[in-house]
Amino acid sequence: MLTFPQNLKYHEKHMWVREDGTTGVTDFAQKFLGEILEVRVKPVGTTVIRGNPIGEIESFKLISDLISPVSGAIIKVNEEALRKPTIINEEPYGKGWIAVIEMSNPKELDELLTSSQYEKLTQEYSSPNLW
Amino acid sequence: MSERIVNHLKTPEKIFPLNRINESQTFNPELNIEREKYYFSSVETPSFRIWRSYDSVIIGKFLDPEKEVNLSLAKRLSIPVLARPSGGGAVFHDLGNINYSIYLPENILPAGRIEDWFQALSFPVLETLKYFGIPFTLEITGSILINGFKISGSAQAKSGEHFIHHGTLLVNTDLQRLELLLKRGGRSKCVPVINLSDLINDIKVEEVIEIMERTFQNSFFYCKGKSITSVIMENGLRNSHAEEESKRTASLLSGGNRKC
Repeated sequence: MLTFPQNLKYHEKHMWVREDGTTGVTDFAQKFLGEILEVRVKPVGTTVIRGNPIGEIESFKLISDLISPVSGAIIKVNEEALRKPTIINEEPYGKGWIAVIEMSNPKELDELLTSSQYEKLTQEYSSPNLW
Repeated sequence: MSERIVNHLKTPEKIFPLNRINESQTFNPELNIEREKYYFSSVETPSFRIWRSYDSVIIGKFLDPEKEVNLSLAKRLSIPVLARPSGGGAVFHDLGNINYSIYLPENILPAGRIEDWFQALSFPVLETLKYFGIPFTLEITGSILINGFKISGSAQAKSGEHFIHHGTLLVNTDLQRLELLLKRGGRSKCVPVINLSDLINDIKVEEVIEIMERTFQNSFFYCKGKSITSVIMENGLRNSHAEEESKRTASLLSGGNRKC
């Protein structure tokens, strides 16, 4: 059973973000990816733009982009998730968070999907061509 | 909902053939890997290439070469160690190994999960093996095994609107050199490997390339709405001398080469 916490906002590229700028991959994403083998995140201090890569993630033998849900500067990276990426599979909304972004435009949060909108998106389109 | 997804849903029924990349042939490993990165980031229609490189070790993007490769030997033999843009382990290239690459815009990715992408896009090797009448098993990570021996591997990357799937086929690679150069301690799996030439008498790399080329000419992506399927026209691949070919196929006896 996939979870979509209501207190989070969602980017259609399967990233969640909390009001304080903490971000990570969604439960849908971690299930789709399967066992996560490696995560790379841009270093602290890097400026990221909403919809552009914040890092990369590897599962199976596929490397794909992690998309930043908001614009701003990376102020914290979850080193534990980098060392042991399977915690993203285990707790995508908890210990498996990826980074904290100091938002340059907090209004972007309003433009992201709500949990029910994102849940609907994942149900309607399932996995094909959505990742 | 993004404009991209809406537009995609409106896509009428379409067929996308795979176009061969127009390039001059090179066996230079550095240039070939540069081309992989360039085509991956720039190709906008479904495309493919078949290529080979002189002796080189090619590792997954995130791998630590120290852990995967016997670097001192590589240095002594002047064999370059290069990172590709995709995931997975380390592979050894020489002119006895055929590489194929498929570049796709993300909206033409076949339906399904990641394992389905590997299965759908491994057709150049699967169809080539079928052509020669060689039974195989395909693992979910794209490894293709003959009687437990690995003959082909593949890897993928996806960035922005671009996607690449590329893979290998061992035809008559120097497996001894491969064993000496690759360490089995890191991410790369400890698997025994085999050459196609161990299975088919007198097989030539050029002959296999020609068959693989035909698998591309006989395949396309069928797209209706959000559903994308990769289709192989098997009839186009039928070998009029199939029986003759199967006679050339050596019985799959035990043997081959163990990597560890």
